[in-house]
Amino acid sequence: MTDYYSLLRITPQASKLDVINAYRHAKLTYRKDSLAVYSLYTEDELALIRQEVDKAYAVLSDREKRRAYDAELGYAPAANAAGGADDWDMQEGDESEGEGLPAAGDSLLRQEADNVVHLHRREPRDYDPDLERRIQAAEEFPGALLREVREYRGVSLRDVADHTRISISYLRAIEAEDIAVLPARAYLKGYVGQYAAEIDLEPHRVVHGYPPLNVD
Amino acid sequence: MTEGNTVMQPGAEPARPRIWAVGGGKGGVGKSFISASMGVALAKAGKRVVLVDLDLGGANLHTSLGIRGSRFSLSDYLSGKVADINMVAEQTDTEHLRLISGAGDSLSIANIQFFQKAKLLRNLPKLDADYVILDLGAGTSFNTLDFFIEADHGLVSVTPDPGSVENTYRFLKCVLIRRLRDVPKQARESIQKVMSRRREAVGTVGSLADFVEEMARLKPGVAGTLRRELDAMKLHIIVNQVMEPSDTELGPSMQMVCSRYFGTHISYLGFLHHDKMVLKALQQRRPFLSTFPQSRLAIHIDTMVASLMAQEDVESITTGDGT
Repeated sequence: MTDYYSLLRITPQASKLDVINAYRHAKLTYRKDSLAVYSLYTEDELALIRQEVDKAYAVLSDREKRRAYDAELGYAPAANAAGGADDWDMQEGDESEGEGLPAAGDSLLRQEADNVVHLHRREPRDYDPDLERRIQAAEEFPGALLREVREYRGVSLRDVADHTRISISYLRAIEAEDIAVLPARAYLKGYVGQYAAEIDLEPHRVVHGYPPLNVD
Repeated sequence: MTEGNTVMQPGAEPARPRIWAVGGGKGGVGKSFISASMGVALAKAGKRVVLVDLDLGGANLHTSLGIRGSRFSLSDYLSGKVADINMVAEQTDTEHLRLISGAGDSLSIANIQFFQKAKLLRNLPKLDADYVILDLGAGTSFNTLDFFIEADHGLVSVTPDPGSVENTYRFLKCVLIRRLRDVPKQARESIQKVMSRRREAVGTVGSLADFVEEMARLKPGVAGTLRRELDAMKLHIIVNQVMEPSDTELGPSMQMVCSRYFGTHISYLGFLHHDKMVLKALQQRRPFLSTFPQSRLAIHIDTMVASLMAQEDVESITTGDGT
């Protein structure tokens, strides 16, 4: 079994953000039809690697699990040595706590910080080869499929809204293909692209395949 | 090549030229273009550069530089007609840049003898220059691999198409395995044993990383030697002829795959755009970098050269404490 850190090409000291970026990069690298693995791995091997990557992310993105993993393999991450449990949260809360902001702003920032943490605590469903195949093969991305993928990836609409700053009503309308509510075409294109990126789909493919954008 | 007997002081000019080799499994991925452009970029930075056309039997680096013919060629040196290797390096239109041309090479040069290869390898470091750039041919013949391995830095050019990616991995495999030929005899025997056992058990030799890992279980000492040999290789990927933004993902992704598959670090140097003006410059018989020095492509080449030069500086200060 490959070490999770070397699988994602990060060090045991990697920050949470490093883990997230490395995970996205790995998923992109080992996706089906990836050019970068051409002639080295078969489809089956690739699927196995993707599962490994998912497993690595599930462990490394979870503070408790990561700590247990580090202990098991004898890694001493810098964060654990000094402050113990709260170091991770402290790093993200730093700006809000250090500056001595007024109470209202403070709670707002704190709420945002919570969202950041929450965003990356996704709980994806188990690997679903059928859906993965459909995603790969899809030429059309109707709202229903987008929704299915989003749920499969364990991303809530609120997460997407918080991250992209697109209002949740638009996001709902995108999934429902509710043309009456959807914004003008030019905006919609951008929104659909951003939304697609949030659920790890290729934005341009989704924009091309989103039916309401294809009626003239 | 070993850091060996030349003790370098920090900041002192290296006693021998640094050698960069440009290779890659496939033809038409821009090896000659990259060699020529890097040569011009280095020369413009005030370094004395010798370009060597080692695409034996298919030499056309002179054409990339806009030179038609030359007085001497590599064959003249290999055949013994010219005794000093510095004599066959001819000045080009660019200041500080000289070329050992393959124009008018003898037709049998594709199959140089072992002693000729050895002679060349021995004498390349004697070239009177700061940098020597080797433009290698496509394919994975031993001649090509050996020149590549002996260089201080090996650059591999890959274009965003499956054929090129496939040949690049094949080339890297060959390079790394050829490199392992340098390990001590005893170690080599255990390698052979493990390899043939794997072939019987699993059916294939599998990835290099898996192999080294198994070696580590059986013979930790040998595995250590292997790792040192592999890590000593300074390999870089350049993604060439990029057309779409998504093509630029190829470099970092290949880096990730290499570290898994080969178990060794291969750096990603950068990407170069596809540019129609390259063809224009070739048709005008002028080096691209001198013709379009302000182009995006030229700037990227300059950046790559600067980053490689910076790596050399770091090495000469730390005098290579291979980790």
